Amino acid sequence: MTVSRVPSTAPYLDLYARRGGEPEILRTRRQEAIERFEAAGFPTARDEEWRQTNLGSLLRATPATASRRPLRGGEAARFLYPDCPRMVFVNGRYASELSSPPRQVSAVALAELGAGGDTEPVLEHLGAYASGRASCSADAGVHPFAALNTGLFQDGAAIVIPDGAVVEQPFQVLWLNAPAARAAESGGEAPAVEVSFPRLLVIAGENSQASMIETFADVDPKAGGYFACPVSEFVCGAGSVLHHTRLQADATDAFHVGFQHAQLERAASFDSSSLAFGGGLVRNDTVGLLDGEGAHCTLDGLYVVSGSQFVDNHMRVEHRQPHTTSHQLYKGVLGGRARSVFNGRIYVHPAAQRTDAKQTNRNLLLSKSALANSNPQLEIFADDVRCTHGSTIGRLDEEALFYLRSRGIEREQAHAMLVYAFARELVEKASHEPLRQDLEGRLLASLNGGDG
Amino acid sequence: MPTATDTIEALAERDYEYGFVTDVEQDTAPPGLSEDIIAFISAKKKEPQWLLDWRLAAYRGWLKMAEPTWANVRYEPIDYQSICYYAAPKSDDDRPKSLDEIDPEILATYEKLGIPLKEQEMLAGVAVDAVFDSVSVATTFREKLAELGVIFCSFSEAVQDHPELVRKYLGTVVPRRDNFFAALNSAVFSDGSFVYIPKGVRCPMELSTYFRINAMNTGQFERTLIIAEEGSYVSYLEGCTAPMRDENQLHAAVVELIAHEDAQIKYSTVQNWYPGDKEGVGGIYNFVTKRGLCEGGRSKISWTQVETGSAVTWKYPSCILRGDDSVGEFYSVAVSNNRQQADTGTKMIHVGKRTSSTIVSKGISAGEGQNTYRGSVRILRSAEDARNFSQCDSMLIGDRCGAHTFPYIDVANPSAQMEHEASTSKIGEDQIFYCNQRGIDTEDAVSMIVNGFCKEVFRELPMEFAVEAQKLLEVSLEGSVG
Repeated sequence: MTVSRVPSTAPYLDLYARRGGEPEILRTRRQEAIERFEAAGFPTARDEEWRQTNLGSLLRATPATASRRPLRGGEAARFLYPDCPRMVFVNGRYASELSSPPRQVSAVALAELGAGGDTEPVLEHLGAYASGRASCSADAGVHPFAALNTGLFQDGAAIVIPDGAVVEQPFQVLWLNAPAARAAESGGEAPAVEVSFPRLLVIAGENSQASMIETFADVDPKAGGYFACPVSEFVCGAGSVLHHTRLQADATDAFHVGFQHAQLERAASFDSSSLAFGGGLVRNDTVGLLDGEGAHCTLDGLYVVSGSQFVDNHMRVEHRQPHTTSHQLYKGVLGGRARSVFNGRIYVHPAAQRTDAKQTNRNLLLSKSALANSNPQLEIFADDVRCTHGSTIGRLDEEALFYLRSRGIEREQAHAMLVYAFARELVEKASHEPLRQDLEGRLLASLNGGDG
Repeated sequence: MPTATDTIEALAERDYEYGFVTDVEQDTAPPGLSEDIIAFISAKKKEPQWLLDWRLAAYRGWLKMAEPTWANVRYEPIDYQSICYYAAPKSDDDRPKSLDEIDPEILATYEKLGIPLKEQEMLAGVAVDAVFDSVSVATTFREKLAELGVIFCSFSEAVQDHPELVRKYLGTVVPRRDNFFAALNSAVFSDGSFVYIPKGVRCPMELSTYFRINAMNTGQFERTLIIAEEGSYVSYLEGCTAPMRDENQLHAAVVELIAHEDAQIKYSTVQNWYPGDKEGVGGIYNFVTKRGLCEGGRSKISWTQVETGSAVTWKYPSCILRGDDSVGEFYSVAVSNNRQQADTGTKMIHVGKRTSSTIVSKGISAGEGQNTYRGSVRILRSAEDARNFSQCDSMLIGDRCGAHTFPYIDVANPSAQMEHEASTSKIGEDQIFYCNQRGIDTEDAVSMIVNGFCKEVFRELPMEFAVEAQKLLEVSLEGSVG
């Protein structure tokens, strides 16, 4: 057994000391968060929640705050959906020249918080869930990267959907990474990574309806070598309906350690799909907290990885109130030497009678060296519940392949057809046509990208 | 019709039926653990030097280990220096030649437990190696088995009579520093069973051991070793009850199974140790390491367990499927009532080609019981075409209990087929109503539904145990639902 050295938090604390300042009203909150981060430290393989995630290569690199960089015209365009209002961030900073914020909702950049407009709801919720200020249950602990984000985010989006508003057009938040130089070219000593801390807060007012798209991407796939550490918080008011699609298409040597939290009030509904194609080391923690009677959340996901990519999804759904329902469906397609971890936990509090929770994880291994880990977990403290989970890991059905081949379809094409058929239900969930086409295209491209 | 609360209370007030202490003089070591105590145990058992060295090495390893805390159980810290590590009935010095010579009080204990040795000798063809506290008191049917070359004796006898076999296999499946409790057991194990089935022999009867913790403050540390040579078959039964007492008792057993080519071992357990009173006081701590190695091709190891007792259970019977085409099975029913806590499951490690494993786990929680399934399925890269099926179902009775599932699934070979399913439910009111409508009262309906829930596991038990298990379950859950 190797002795795991406790990674030093010093380089990141140094970033905090040298940060560029923040709106006055956020100062205490930041200070608290960074103290929590310092107390918790970076996780090691000895932490049960991080047992299977090797952060070594990330934490060995020296972090540097991603610099401001203007984009050439059109560099962002291929990630945008033309008819959607949008907010674009480059290296974690708001790029107003590329953005056209939605009109029906209040969308402000966090760096301008306090400069005008109604800051009260934003202040009430920002960082309340993600960085341990009001963590869902005692044993969930502090998520060190979420605390780090709260302490260090340069900018972010705060979107408030007014009570009763019905927003037809989905709005998009695009997080672009444009690292200045390739990490490997920076010299012989410890590699450096540019770090960005995207921050999103969405507050859905009572009985409002909206849908949104979050996209994580890099401007130049060859640049790579950056670290994105995003936090997204969703506060779903009573009776609200929020659809969320999260597309993660980072460079395949990028680090991505994200945290998402959805807080659901009475009869609220939150439906999220997370689609991960990129990133070298990807870790996502998603929490759904059903805190009102009749709330429902759907947390779905798809990961299509190959090469030496590693993707880890940690889910935690907490049923706190009676009559709440949750559904999770995560599917994975693994080629090359890719590795995936799915860790799903459903926690049913004693008060949450009549809970209906379902969790499914299906993995398709396409190559001999791919590895899938699946840990679906149930913790149930109420008796009148229906909780199920299922997990499968396997390869393509030889008989189905044979069937297609006997009808004159080439092996490779048959292969792609079957993988596509496996993954499509998560892509087809997207109701916005341009988004669906984009996702389909990405799925097909990744299938042709070389698997065994 | 009684309400759920009434009946749960009635259940909680039940006294432990098998609670009593037999007065037998004990030859006990002073409490505490040190190298001297280990030397004392070893000398008392006239063990060869190599075994003493082995124990001491385990002890030195244990000193460096920390007690694991990852299990989903809560209990008062154990003071390892207040435990007696050796107790043997006085009659040990001149071992009885037949049942007639056995201390009548001990025999009476078995009578109360409903295990009349004399009758059993004649009935059912079951050979009984009864471990009373730490030293085997009686072993029956041994001659009959010896004719076939089967060795079935206590572990200390095996050390004297078959040292070469013990030395060859001891600690090969569960290394002496495998984990905290296994290391403790390796250092101080008192006795246990030893079974050796020679090549091609099908053991003609179910081998059975009844363990019973009796002396006050004596942790019991059995060590069981079963070796099945090529093409052999054995079915082994283990069953437990314990007398009522107030102090928590530690029980840390180690069981090692080795199945060579084409061999089959079936290991069944009914565990009904004292679970503590309704406040959770007293009761047995059951921290057991059980592991089987499917060494040869086409070998098979099957674990079946019915866990209804103990205050705290920490037990993961596992299979290492090393031989090609080997098969591992795990069937479990775990009941936790009142303040009982059970963290149990299995590990299936697929190494060989075309290995397959089946896991069926049924957890029942009632009262304030906490029941956890924790299992691991690992399919290594070498395990071409491995197959696993896991099913973990939980049933909740009452609103203060908990059911938890923590499966770990690691697959490193794409040809593997792995399925895991789990569900949690309660007994539906509509199900009860359906039975009531047909003139079946609520109590019977619950019993019927629970038995149906566990049927897949009971089916795997040998006849003798299946009856006992169903009865145990009825007693454990009687009146839990109104």
